Amino acid sequence: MADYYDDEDGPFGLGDRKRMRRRRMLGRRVRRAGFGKSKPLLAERLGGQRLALLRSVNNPVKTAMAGTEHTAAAAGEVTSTLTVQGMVPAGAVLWVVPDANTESITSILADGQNIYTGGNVPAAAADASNQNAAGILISRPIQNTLTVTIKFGAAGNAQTWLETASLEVEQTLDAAEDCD
Amino acid sequence: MQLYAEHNQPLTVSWSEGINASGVVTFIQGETGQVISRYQYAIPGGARFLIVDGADFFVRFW
Repeated sequence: MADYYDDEDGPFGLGDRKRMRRRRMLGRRVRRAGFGKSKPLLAERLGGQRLALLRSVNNPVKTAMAGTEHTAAAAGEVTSTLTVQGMVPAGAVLWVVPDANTESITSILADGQNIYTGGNVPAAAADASNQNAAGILISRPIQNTLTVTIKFGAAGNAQTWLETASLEVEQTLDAAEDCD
Repeated sequence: MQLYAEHNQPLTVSWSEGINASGVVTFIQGETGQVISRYQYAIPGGARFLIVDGADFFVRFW
């Protein structure tokens, strides 16, 4: 009879104990990952924005500017404005990826204030290659709008998007988790 | 590794090359030492940044 339940089968035998331990550990990992019983409370504390916040912890939120691209049919300047949803905290990164080296940034306005005072962005900062584009740090909060003007030497387009910081979200989540 | 980001000068940071190479970049205010944001980039090799708003910054990356 003692051999009837082996390590893998027996009720409350070694196999069962292993399985129960695995379930307990899995439950802990699931709760720590944010899908356990404590999450509804967390969601209430964070005003129902749980899903958006959880997503942004691991993936910086990228917001394309109006039309995703600045497009010019001929040489000239194109301006695009992004109206932010709520306040974007200091530390957002603006990416501008032109398709030609004849394109440059004329101005960047955060809430109407010119934050780029160095003239045109150097060619090295606005390269046609995605990997060589420069992320432009916006070191002040954006309350309402971010406006970017790009000067085109000829017809072309430039992709522009704003990457918002996830650190503050992480801190918020950490604090909320500590309260649970 | 941490580098000083000179105002209006592009700063290139590099991390290990590889198929799945990615880097974590942290922006730190020079005067206060406050971390203002942190990002993880899946761009292989590295990325380039530009500080335009008149403040001193350090860029930490790995």
